[in-house]
Amino acid sequence: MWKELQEWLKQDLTIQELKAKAKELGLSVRKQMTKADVRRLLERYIERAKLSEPESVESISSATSQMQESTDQSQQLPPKEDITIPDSYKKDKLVAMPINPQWMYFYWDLSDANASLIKSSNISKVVLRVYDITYIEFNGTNAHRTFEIGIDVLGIRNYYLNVPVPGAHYLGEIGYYDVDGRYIPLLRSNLCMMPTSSPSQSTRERWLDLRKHRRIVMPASGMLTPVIERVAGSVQGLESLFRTSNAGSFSFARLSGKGM
Amino acid sequence: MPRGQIMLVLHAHLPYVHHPEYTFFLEEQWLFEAITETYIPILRMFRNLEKDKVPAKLTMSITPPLMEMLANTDLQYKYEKRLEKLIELSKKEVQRTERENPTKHKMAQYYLSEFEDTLYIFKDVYQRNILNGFKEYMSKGYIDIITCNATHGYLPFMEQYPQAIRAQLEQAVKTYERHMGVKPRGIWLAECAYFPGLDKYLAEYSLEYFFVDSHGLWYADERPKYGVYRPVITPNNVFAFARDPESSEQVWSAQIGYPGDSRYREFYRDIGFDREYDYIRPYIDPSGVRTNTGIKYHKITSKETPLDGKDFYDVDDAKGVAHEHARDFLRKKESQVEYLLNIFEGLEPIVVAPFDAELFGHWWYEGPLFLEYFMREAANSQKLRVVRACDVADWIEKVQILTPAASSWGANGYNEVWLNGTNDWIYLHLHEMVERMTDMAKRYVEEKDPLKVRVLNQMVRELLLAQSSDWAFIMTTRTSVDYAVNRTKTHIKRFLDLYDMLNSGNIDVGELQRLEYVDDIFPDADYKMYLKI
Repeated sequence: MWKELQEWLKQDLTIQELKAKAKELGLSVRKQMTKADVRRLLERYIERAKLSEPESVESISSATSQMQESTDQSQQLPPKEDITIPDSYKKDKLVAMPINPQWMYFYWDLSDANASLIKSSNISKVVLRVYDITYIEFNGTNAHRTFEIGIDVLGIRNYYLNVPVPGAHYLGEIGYYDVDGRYIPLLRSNLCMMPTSSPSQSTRERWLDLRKHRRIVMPASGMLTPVIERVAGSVQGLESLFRTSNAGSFSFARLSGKGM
Repeated sequence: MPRGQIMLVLHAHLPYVHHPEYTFFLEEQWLFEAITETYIPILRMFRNLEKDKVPAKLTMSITPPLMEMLANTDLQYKYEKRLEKLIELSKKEVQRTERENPTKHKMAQYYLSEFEDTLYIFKDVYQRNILNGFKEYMSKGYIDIITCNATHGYLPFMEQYPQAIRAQLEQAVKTYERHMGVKPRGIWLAECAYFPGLDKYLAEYSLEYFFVDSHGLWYADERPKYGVYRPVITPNNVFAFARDPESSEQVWSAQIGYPGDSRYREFYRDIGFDREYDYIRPYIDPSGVRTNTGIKYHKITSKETPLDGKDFYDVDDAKGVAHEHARDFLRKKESQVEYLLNIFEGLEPIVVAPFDAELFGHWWYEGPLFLEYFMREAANSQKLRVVRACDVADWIEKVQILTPAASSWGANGYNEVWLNGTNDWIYLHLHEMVERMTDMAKRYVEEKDPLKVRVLNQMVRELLLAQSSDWAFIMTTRTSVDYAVNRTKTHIKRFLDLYDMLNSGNIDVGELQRLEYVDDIFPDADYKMYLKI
């Protein structure tokens, strides 16, 4: 294409013709440009076109950190921005998050003091504990159940945990056993309420009459409509249960035109 | 005679993508494609229905970032340029296809007139801000426009930070009011993500209703007597509507859904990829990478047909199909509500069918036409009437009190799309940012120095932008991962830099100005939102 353009430029052209061509190519043409200016713009375009064969163009999933070649000569591209972020904030923190009724997630961060404490010779084993404290005031010893797993809290920074009871309230704790076998807690997480995955067993129903502003409580009558619940399944094993086809937000990802 | 009711809900959302420092940015095309293919066609539908005096009722969320982008003059200007280029290309196509094939030629002419009409609606009718159009049809009673979390933040992952939830809601309500002139009555929770207790915050912002996925009601604290076919009210007096699984399946399922019909337009054949490079070069990405233009000449033909074996698309055939599908959908909905009316002993069932708005038009090209035909057909139905969420909130007299269960409309119904091995690293940072923002809000609660206030408010913008659930979603679906990762890191880094500036007392005004320019969402952002713990 640039060859054609080069040939075309050899003619005696009016400024209108030149500007029209430049615009057609997507170059930014300003009003005050002279005929020579526009010619130069087009010549520069040819120079660049010679350099960039279509096959050699890099794929651009553009990103804020990544510069794009622009045909617009008048525009200065912004400088590349440093987006290096820390991998720790040196704060003691254990955070629990629910993923689905069976899985919960923990991540943690440690202060320098606790990081060096964990390395000390006084410690025989570091663990992640999970207490089931559904509907109780936890005092450290009255959990319904307590689970424990040995973890290298300095080597890894997060953990996915399969838990037994949907709808339960779990509390996480990082602690260690000292050389005498005593358990010492270090960090405690927020309370994590797991999603439920089955219909309620409650025997009552509550209603609100909006006109009379009256509440009514009555024995449960159950659901009138039959329900077909979804169930996870796979022919390939657990890995593919984490796939992402859904009824939900899919379409804008396709707006990139790349498909899924 | 009692009739069943159907509520169609479209969720219109795109993450905030605006790069004023670039004249062309690939990801800004998401918005431009959605305006041309979805948002303006929906407005065109209302214009057609109004002209023919057909009553129509739609519920639609337009998210705060989308509102901010639609009202942004730089994006409006870029969109207009893009559309003008497309019209220029269409004109060339009209000439070219004359020699190629009569169906192609007909379609080229069709595209040219569609794009010219789109430009007319954009520029002349709505003065480049199509929110004016949505406002118009809201005031005429056609649409109930509701809001959404400020930046589509995933609220279940903010449960331990009430102030972060409140900021997402407060900014949502403020942004809606700034653009629409009234307060929103309802909210679409981003990703339909709910957890027990969230209703309390919704009530604080006078939001009257929200939506959950089906199992949000099925697994609620008490059994919903009418399943998902009547709204419930939470203990904090907010209505919850639940998604009907049947309607979604009928419309959108890959196997049995309407959009897969062989006579509909094929998404993946676009002249941006089909035409020779030299010819198409000025109309694709300026870097030279081929992109979609929106001009597509092929139909699906059959799912088994390879892309290069597709037949030519004829929009008139497709219109017939869309009409047929609209009638079919209406018949299915009529028989569904008849069945429900029967088991509900005459109480009117309410079927709620929510969809991503961008499914209609962008992905399913004939979708807006389908909607229009559905509204026309439904207007004459004796068994069914179309309602908006606000209508139900106004009419309903007796309602069951429930707390819906934690749920979302993502894959498998919970949180795993937004928390898995591809994106779990973001939460350390997002939570840290909330904590620092809160500390700063407390420390500078009485701050009078306008420069410091600007730094604090820019921190709010960076935090809210980083919280968009879109980034985690893209990392999971592996579509534009680099962009999503970079956007997340960029907002974290900018936030931390601003934090350091404030802490050290060395405020770099030039840098602050630059950040206000490149992350220019929410001019009314207020750091004091984070005092509401």
